[in-house]
Parts: sequence; C-alpha cells; structure tokens
Amino acid sequence: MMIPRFQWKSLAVLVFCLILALLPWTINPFRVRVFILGGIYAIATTGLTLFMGFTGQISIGQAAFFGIGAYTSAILSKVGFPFVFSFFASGLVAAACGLIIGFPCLRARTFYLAMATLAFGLSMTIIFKNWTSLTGGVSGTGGIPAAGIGPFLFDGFISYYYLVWIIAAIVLFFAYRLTRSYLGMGLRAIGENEVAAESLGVKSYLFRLISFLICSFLGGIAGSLYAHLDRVIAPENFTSEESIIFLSMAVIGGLKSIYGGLIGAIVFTLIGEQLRSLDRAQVIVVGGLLVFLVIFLPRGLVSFPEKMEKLVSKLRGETSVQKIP
Amino acid sequence: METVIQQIIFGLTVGATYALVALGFSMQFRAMNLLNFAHGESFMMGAFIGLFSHVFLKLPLLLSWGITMAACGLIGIIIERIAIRPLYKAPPLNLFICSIGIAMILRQISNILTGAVSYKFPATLGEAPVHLGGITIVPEQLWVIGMALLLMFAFEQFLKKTRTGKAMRAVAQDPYTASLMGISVLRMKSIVYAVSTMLGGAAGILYAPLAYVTFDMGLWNGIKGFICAIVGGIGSIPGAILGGFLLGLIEQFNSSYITSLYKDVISFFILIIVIAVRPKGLLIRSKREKV
Repeated sequence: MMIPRFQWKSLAVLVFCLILALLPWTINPFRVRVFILGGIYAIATTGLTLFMGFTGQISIGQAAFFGIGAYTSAILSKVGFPFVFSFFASGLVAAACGLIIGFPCLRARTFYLAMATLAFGLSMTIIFKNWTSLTGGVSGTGGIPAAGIGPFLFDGFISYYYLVWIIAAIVLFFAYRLTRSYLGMGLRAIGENEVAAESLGVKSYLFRLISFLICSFLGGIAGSLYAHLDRVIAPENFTSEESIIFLSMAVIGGLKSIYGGLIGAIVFTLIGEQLRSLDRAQVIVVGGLLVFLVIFLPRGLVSFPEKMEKLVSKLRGETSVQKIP
Repeated sequence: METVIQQIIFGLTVGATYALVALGFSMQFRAMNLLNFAHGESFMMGAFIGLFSHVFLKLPLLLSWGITMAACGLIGIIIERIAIRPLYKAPPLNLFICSIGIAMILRQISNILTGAVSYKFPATLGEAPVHLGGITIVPEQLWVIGMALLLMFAFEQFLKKTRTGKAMRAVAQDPYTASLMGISVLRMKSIVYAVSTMLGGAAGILYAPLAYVTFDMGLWNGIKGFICAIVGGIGSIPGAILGGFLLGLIEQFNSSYITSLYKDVISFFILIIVIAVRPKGLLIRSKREKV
C-alpha cells in the first residue's frame, strides 16, 4: 500500500500547528517558557539551515548575531523606541554586521569559513563583556520593557508564546517560499556544483552573501525576541558554546529541509529540559547524540521517516526502488 | 631594547606551544581530510594527565611526560576507532560536526572530573628570573622553547626516516596509490590521529606552567592552533611552525603595547584577514580547483 507523501506532510503540518496552538493552555507557565525558547531557537536555526543547507557552508557564529540582535533591541527599547521598530532594527543591525563579516569571509569556504565565523563569535563575546558603557559588561543589561504592538502588551508567557510562534510561522513560510525562488534554486545549484552553476550565470559569491545576510537577519530578530522574553540579557547567553548549540540543532534536525531547523530546535530544547536533572552531564549526552546522529542519521531527523521506510522494505525483503525526487 | 628581546622570548614561548597544536591540525587535515574541532581538547587532556601524574602522583617529570603522551595516544586511537572511522566515506562536513560532538564530550568529562577548578602546574626549571647582561630570562621559557623544538625535530625525523612516517606521507599525498603499494590506509589514519593527539598532549603539558590548567583551555588554544595552521597554510608543516611563532609574537607585542583586553580579538581579526586575502595560507600557493 502506498500513500502519497504530500498528504502525510500536510496532515503532519496541520496536527503540529493544532498542538502548538493548544499547548500553552494545557501545561504550566514555566513549561510555556521552554516552548517560547524553542520557537526563538527555531527562528535562528532556520536562518542557519538556509545558509548552510543548500551550499554546504558552515557557520559557527550564529550566537553572535543572536547577541547583536538582543543588545540592539534591548538598548533601543530602553531608550523608548516601540517594540516593532527595535525588532526590525535588531534584524537589520545583525544583517549589517553580517555584511561586514561576510564580505571578506565568504571568499573562503566550508572549514575556513567555519573558523572565521567562530573567531567572529568569540570576538563578539569579548566585546559584549568589555564594552561596558553600551552592553552593561559581564552582568548584562536588565529592565528591558515588555514587547508591545500598539495597545497590546505581550507581558505574559502565554501571549508572548503566540507572538513568538506566529513570527516563527511567518519565517518558516518565508523560508519555504525562498527555497522555491530564483535565489533558492541558485543556492541549490551552487551546492551541487559551483562551477557548473557559475557557468549558468549564478553569481556564487553574491548568492552566498545574500543567504548569509538572511541568516544573520533571522539570528538578529530571534535575539530581539529573546531579549524581551526574560527582559534581562548577559554576555553568557551569546557565547560560542551557544553558536555550537545552534549548529547542532541545525545538523540534528537536518540541513537539507527547511523543517530541519524547526525540528532540531524543538527536539533540542525538549531534550535539554528533560536532562536538566543531569546538570553538567547534559552536555555529554548532547555531544554523544550529535556523534550518534551524524554516524547513523547523517541527513538529520527529517530523514528519519525515509530511513524507516527503507528499513521496513528491507525487512520485508523488497528490492529497493530508486525514488525520483 | 632589552624589553623587546624579553617580549620576543615570551612570544616565542607561547608560540612554540601553538605551533605544536598547529602541527597536529595540519597533519590530520592532510592525511585524513579532517578538520578536527576536538584537537584543542588533546591539549587540555595533556595538561591534566601531566598534572595528575606529576603533581598528584608525584612521579618524576620525564616519566609523567611519557605517561601523558602514551595516554593521549591511546585516547586518540580509541576516539578514532569509535567516532571518526565510521565517517571516512561521509562528506567532510559530517566529520567536522562529529568532532564538535567529541569536543563537547571530552570537555565536559574533564569539567566533571576536575570540578571546574584552575590548577597550578609547577615550573620545570624554576620561575626565578635570571639576569643575563641586562636581559631578564625566566628559565622555564627556554625549557618550553627547547622542548618544543626538540619535539618538532623528532617529528620531522619520524616523518622522513621511518617506514611508518614515509607511509603516512604517502597516504597524505594519495591514499589510493598508497593502498596499492600495500599500505593500510585505515591503520595509517589511526596512527596519524594518535600521533597528532600525542603532539597536542605534549603541547598541553608544556603550556601548563605558563598559565593555569582549566577544563576549558582546550577551546581557546585549539582555535589558536587552528589560526596558526591557517596562517601558515593548512597542510604545510613548516607553515604550521611559522604560524605558531608568528601568532605568539603578535599576541605578545599586542598585549604589551596596544591592548591586552582585546588581545584575542586582534588575533581573530588577523585570522579573518588572512582567510580573506590568502585563503590557503601564507606558504601555500593557491591552485584553481579542477573541474
């Protein structure tokens, strides 16, 4: 029996949205905060997936853009700008930093780029810690006003939950459209064979730069949402360990699908929550999971159904049929 | 003038340990096509194993050196066997991500075992400064530079003179042809991983008296080792050594004459500039990739 795939997919998306919409009413407020974090991480990780997935590049600097967005939003809101303004400003400032760093670094590829972005992330942590007049130094910035759009004030966990997930949904829809756009096709072509893509008129450097800017923009707006969640931020939230966690989320979820970032962020946040009792051993489990998944599920959790399908047909003794994508 | 010479000596001291880390990076990159994020952790392991055997078990220094290098080599072989070997046929990105996972595990194990405390490693030749015609020298610095140069020399001889070393170079050059010549490529890769972990461990135990030993020293020093490898040209052994000494000197002059607060920011800035201008490093001429 063969059920067409797309039905499964749309059913899954529908069920997922329904669960998300009803979730905050069934669990206690503290747990709602975990799911808000999941949504924020999903936005930042989707950016990373867009940049890394198609072209096979690596960025270990997403937490730096996350931090730049968070600080921009915090500072602007404290001065008195409305949330909507500081929200978009944080994305734009992060994208501007992405331009400054991406312009020279994107000449390099894969590993070199990974290390350049890592160096950028480490430098940003040092700057967050030491530029005391702007960022409040090691102890961070507090007293950030609650997010509000017009007369609505998102000061409770439940209302903020809806705000974050609506933005996440918009971002995901945008990402979905992007993969089917000229830009997305070009990026995919670069990932397949860069020289061939260039010969067909795809400007590799420009395309990669644009996708890096989108990646940093999404990191920035996720950071803005993060700043208005607890209304206090500190440099330790934006270290390179965080960047590695973003990278792990993207890889565990799966880089080749736009849902990878979403799935990775939710799974990762939930695992982190479940393992909280393990305290420091948590990182060991996460690291082990990373090694395990890279070896046994190299295309991430999104490829899990596919893998199961293959396994089942193997157990049944059917010969595998090459699927045309 | 005297202070400048002192700065140079101190820069070379730190640079020597960076160079040892960079050597391991370069070797793994060339022979295994692996950019090992976990390589910095071998530095941390070396420092801690050395600390454990020399300070807590009170073993003589040379014996603890032996124990450190042997233990690091063994850990390297185990890691390679469990986590790296299943991925040789996978894309290099997966290998890189896998090494991030390994680094997380190693660092956190050390965090739990040592309790996130900084330890002091006693200096080998003493830290009392010696005055030599207006120049003040700490004997420890000479020990570090001397040992590092000795290790580099021994390593070079190993690559050039021994059968295993030659086989390693053959695998780095062309794994397929090497396998036709009867060299077991898998075994060579395992040895490369073990040897580079040993070099990292030796760098760790050398660096230990210069600063405190902490569980997170691996990340920073690993990244600096990588910067050196990149600046010199990854895959090139003289490049790694040159890069190490260069970065040590730059850091030293920078922290004493410009800013010590943003010392690392400037090192990273150098990395970014080198990557942008000469992506393949100073000593390697860029080649167009064949289609």
